[in-house]
Amino acid sequence: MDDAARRLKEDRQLRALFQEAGYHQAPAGLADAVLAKSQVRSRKEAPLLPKICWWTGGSFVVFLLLAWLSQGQASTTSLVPAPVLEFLGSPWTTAALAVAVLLGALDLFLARRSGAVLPG
Amino acid sequence: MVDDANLIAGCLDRDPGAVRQLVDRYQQLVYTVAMRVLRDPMDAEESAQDSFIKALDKLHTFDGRGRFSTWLFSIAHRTAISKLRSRKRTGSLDELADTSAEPMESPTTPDERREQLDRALAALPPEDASILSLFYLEERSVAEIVTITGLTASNVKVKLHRGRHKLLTALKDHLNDELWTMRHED
Repeated sequence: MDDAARRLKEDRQLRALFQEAGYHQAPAGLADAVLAKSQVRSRKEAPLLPKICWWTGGSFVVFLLLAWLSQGQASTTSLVPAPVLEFLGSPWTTAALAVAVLLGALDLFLARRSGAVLPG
Repeated sequence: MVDDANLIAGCLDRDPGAVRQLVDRYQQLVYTVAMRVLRDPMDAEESAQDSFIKALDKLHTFDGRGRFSTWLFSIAHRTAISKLRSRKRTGSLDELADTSAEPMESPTTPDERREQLDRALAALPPEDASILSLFYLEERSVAEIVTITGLTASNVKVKLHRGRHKLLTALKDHLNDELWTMRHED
């Protein structure tokens, strides 16, 4: 028997032996352990404010901005009544809005850092 | 049976059912790779878990061009090798002499032959044992083993040649050659 034939025969024998021996039996509960670990890793703190709140808030701010601009051009064509604008323009309202935006941004930043997916 | 592509899509959506099916489908393969390298059931289990977690985390990077099992094997092999390195425990070919020196009966049952094979493989360097397992058990080509291990083709061939030679030497003394030759020859 030449070398190539012998090698072929040995390869066939080894393959048969490996196939007969088969795989190591994986421990029971491996899938559960993987699921538990992957769920722990994917369970992140979601932001308190969903995306829809940001869109609504953003639209409201744009609306206010447009209203303020339109008031500057002609008070008669203002989109929002003057008392409302006055109230919104007060320092208390401005400060409250600023704090809300700041807290919202902090919430968003913390959620982004933990890798959570934004709801909504 | 759900095909790999659908399972992967389910896993990307974090569907627990798909994750469970994927793990169930490949756990023996991944665990066997880990066992060949680490040779310790506890370490192998941990390595198998880590491999699946890594695979799930990186699943979006699997482009679907190659076989999914090759991609998963690659993660399993590298995770096990990395764990082995961190454990600072390396296999030694010297162990082969110790194993062979022990007086043993010629194995006649599949379980005994399996035990013999495991002992012979355990006497090889872990990476060589893993490569032999990929070649003979998984019937992977050299090119696929290159992808899985990250070694060069010539390095894989050298390891295969060397491991095969050592394995045959170790097994010839113990296995009833004629018995399984007759059984498996054409």
